[in-house]
Amino acid sequence: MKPQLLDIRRLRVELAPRERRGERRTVIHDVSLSVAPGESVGLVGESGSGKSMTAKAVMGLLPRGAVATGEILYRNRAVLEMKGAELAGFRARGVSMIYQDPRAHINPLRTVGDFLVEGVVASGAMRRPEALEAACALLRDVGVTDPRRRVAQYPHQLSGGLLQRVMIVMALLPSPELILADEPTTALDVTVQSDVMAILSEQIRERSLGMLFITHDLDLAAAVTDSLAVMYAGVIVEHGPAADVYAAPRHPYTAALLASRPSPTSVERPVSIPGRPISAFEAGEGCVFAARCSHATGLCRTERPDPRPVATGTVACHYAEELEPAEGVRS
Amino acid sequence: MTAPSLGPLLSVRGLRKVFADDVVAVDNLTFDLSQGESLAIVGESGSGKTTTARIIAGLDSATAGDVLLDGRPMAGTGRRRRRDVQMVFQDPFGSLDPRQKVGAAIAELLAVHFRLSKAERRSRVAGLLDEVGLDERHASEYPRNLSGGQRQRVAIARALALEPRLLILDEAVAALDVSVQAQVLNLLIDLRDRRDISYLFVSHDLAVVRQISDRCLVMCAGALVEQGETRDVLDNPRESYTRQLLDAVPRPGWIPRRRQAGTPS
Repeated sequence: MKPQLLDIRRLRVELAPRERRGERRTVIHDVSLSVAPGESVGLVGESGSGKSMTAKAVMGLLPRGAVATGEILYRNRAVLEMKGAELAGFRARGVSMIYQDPRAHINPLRTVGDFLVEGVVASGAMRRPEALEAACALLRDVGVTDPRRRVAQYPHQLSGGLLQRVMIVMALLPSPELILADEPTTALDVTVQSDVMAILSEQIRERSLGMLFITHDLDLAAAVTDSLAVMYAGVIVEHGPAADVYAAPRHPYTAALLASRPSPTSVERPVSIPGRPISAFEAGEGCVFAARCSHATGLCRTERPDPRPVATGTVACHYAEELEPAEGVRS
Repeated sequence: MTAPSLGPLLSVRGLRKVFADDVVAVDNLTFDLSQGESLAIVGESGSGKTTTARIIAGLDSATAGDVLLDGRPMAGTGRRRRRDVQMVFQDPFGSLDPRQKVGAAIAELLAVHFRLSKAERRSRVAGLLDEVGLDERHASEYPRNLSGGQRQRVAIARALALEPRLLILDEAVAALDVSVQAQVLNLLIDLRDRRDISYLFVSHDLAVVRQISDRCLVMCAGALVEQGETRDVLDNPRESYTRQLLDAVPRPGWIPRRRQAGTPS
């Protein structure tokens, strides 16, 4: 087996109760996935699926009182057990996070340059002048033509697309091995998304970084990742090579999600999934998708299926072998 | 009721909007929308599409130009004519009163605009909720207890309550999860079959626009770039900007590309 950069095994996360005598709320039931060096893995799901919480667990940024079980291994070191200096070192040099809305994550009162170098200077990796030098070089790499002027500017003076490039530079500056990108282009216009995505992919490839790419957009994820994990209500329901999952989805949820997107090329009525996406803590004993699934039986409502190997991937469905793969999208 | 008019339902003539800091949001925009038609305005942020929609809805004033409904100016018209144009926003959470139950929110509108008995109002509320796929149980809920899709259905029911002839939908399905977006999109498609209603559908999403509109306008930086039958514009765009927009949509075999031109500020 090739060495993994990140290996998540049977992760389960429960949040502290909202009220004093309330119950713990499960936000992740069962997540297993791994990222090899140089590999891009897409984690796709709707709101409440637990995809962002998975990233938070990897960063060791779970809310106070949350309980995580299972394992998160970064280069064979258990992230969930890291404390103090080790955790700080992992966050400073091992992994970087790119968030959806750069405006919400960049201090509006500090200059772009301050924001960029704060992390590496604080962790002692670089001194400020050399950090600024490195930041400017990176800004140039990601297509910012006048970095010297930009680092002296404030966030409000930059467009959303430009700020997201600043965020990418911030993430790359400490030379991490793993990038967690949480909806990095969702707040951007499509033409800007294309631009930013091209830059991000290029940097990931050149540096052979591992990337966990979190998004609600199946089409985008399929285009930019090597493998895809589809998440619903705290469970990874399907996982496999991106092209296979996209072309021949085997879990009913993946198939339904693909069918519910409006067609970009012809006028045809999108097939909606009845009901609404549920959160992990609303799921009962059975399969998390049972209530909305057209194939569900009594077994599905009482017993949660474990992920099992089917064709090139894994599928968490009792009928994974019997159901024909759905008509997906061939690239 | 209004007599059927021969001209277009909505005419926008030379519309211009300049904001206080000399930003030209919309520049000399002219278009028509016929009775029963669904017209989309497509564009990226800063294209002026939402400003145009807000001016037509009467939420903003134009710096210059005219908005005509049945050939008569909209500006400063009374309540009866205002009813003809209703708007649904992107974020239903921001457009519904968090302290008002859903049923009451619709009943209030009916009370202001129509002379109805209490019983008539109640049955009208039930009818409207049914029309958007909700039921009596939802009427007694607060918006926070509804899902995003349900809240958007409420916003649509509220707009329909006034029996508008033109419904402006500003990114009305953009904030919804994919599986729910299809439900609301299908609802909007069905409503147009049942009612004699026109749509002005403002969106950045070309796949959604293809499903819901007969014609579309492509806007960029406040100006009209291209217009025509939706299918023609999306299948055979004449302008390079429209082509750029289409090329940027992720799809099978898509490869993200860096922009050719220099870095925008």
